[in-house]
Amino acid sequence: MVTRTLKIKWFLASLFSAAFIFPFNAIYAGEQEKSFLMGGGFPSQELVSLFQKGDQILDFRKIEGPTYYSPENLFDYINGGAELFLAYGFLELLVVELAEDRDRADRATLEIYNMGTLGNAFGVFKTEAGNKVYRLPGGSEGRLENGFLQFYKGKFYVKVFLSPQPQADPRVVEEIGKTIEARIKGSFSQPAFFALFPVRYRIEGSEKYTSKDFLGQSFFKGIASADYKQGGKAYTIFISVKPHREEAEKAFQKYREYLISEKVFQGELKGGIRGFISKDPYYGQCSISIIGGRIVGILGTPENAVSILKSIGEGKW
Amino acid sequence: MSNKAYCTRREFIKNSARVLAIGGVVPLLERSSLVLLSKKDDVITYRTLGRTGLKVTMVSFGVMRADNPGLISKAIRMGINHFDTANTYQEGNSEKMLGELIKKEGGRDRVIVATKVALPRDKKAGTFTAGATKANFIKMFEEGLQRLQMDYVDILYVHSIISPEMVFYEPALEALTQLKKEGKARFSGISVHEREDKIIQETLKRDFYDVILTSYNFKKKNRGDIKKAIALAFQKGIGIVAMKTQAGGYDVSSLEITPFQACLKWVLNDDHIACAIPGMTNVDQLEENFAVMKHWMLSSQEMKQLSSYSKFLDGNYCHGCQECVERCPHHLDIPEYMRSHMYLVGYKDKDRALGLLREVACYSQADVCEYCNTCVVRCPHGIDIEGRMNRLRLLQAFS
Repeated sequence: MVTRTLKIKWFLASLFSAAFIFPFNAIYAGEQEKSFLMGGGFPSQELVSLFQKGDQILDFRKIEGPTYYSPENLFDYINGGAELFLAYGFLELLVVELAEDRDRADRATLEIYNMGTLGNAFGVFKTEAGNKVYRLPGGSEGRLENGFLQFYKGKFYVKVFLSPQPQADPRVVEEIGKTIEARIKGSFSQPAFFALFPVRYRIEGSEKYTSKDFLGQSFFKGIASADYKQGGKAYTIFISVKPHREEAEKAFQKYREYLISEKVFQGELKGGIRGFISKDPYYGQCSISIIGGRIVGILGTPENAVSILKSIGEGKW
Repeated sequence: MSNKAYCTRREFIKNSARVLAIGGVVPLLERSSLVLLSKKDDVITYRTLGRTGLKVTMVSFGVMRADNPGLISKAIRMGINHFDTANTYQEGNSEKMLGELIKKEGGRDRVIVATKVALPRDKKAGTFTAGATKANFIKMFEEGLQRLQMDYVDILYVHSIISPEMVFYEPALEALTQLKKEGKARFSGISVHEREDKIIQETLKRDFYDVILTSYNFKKKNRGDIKKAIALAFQKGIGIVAMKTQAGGYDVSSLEITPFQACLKWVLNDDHIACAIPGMTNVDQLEENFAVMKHWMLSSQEMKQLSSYSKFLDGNYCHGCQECVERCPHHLDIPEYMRSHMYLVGYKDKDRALGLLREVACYSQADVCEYCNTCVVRCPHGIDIEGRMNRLRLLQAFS
């Protein structure tokens, strides 16, 4: 039953809403109108704050934008290229064009992709940038080549590039990158899951993260990998980043079935570890196991695959 | 025939006989398509790409991603012979990976390679911008050719034409003419993602392009007009390649059907289309799409699937028109809530859904809407906003 006191409380609450909340919402909505995502909705404040209205970097200032894109309309901006970003959990994009003055053909384009997580930002960066390592002043991992800078920090993947055959000073991309890097909160780090990988013999910059369809198999999701060289032998270690016993078991069995159907299955792993060896028809020799609820595998033929797998399981490498 | 993407005359005769012998497997004489069998009795169907004379596999491969080289190898070995990439895909890594694989899999002449050059453009104005010069076009193409490790490509597209005014852009035409003369591009074309009918019709005004790569699927609002434009282009000898055929490739696990073969068939049932280039990232998708070459006629069952899928897309896809924001008395950012719901139900990603809810709550100064007893907002596209808000409220309450 509704008491008199409760009714008074509701009345006061309504008055409060009318006086404060509604005008606040209206004002807020008005401010946000300027920065609609192209597909509808609003960009996050975190993204909006990374580029500021009066920014001027080495005489370059904004001539167009910021324009925002969402998963629904990323195709409008980068067409087929959007597929990669969507596969890595893309959330929103800010695009700004900068130039020394409006008529100059020398433009710098700044793109900031919010990928939702550090793992996704890292994954998409590595897929696009490859293994060449460049460090920004704040320590972020990136690539810089021919007036084209790419880097990731936190959940953001950033690209800065000049128009083709520019006359402009290529340092401008570094300066823009430096500014954005400093504005992204926190310090730079690689995704934590690489702590699972042996450090010894690892090739610097070879770390990768594949959100889905690793080895072209729909059941391999969220797999991190790194390349190794030991003696004359090269191999790749891969590990599922989230421990999930059922998922790992399912993927393990499906991969086994696939290899058997392809008539390339070779047998069980020996040496007191559960797993099998096979020759993947497209990726070569493979040893695979489940350790701690994770898929752990090796592509290639190191001399001691079983002991490597064991050492990963025990964290003793 | 071996499981290669080409065949000798003897192989062709032998395989034609095999196809006839297994009569009824494919409607062989119904279309002007060339049907062959691979070693494993997979059916490979080729169509001629307009005046280029190229025989392309009806199901070809859109190579947007480069992180599964094994899948491209598998596709080549299965017999798919036409691969489509672009200089912009993964900042050139797509071209690089494709080039390396073609080399590894045994030879340039086994496959038809298409790439694209994206010139800088002003999206709002529908024009190219100052950096879109002949020199830049050639430079970008040459860089791509190096990544592909090839002396030539079969088809070179001017990428992403967005207005009829951009179709005959002189610097691009000059670059294409020069590259064809030099033997670096055998045929030229344009790629079109929007206003397809208008742009295709514009293309017919001059006899320049050999191929049009167009976005086309059963959900396109202007699909009737696109179909007519495609027929006209076909009559002029222009080869038509279709893309975006799967209407977005939404997660359909809750649908209990896989509508993607039907989507592909809907496009390929048009004789004027030489092939489609679905993007594929895993073996399941590759095999599913490849199998379309065996039975490409749409069955009544598949028509029903398309109808279900269409309803599913209509009821799921937030167009971001903002009408709901206007209609909501509190001007809540409903499209963002709908996006959160899409993550929850469509992608089955609770963390992302919650993450987005937290972000929206942060700037809206409110959790999921709790203002009204009954939601008065009605989505013009039929999305059940109230139902979804209730589900999001539950998600938030129990997380």
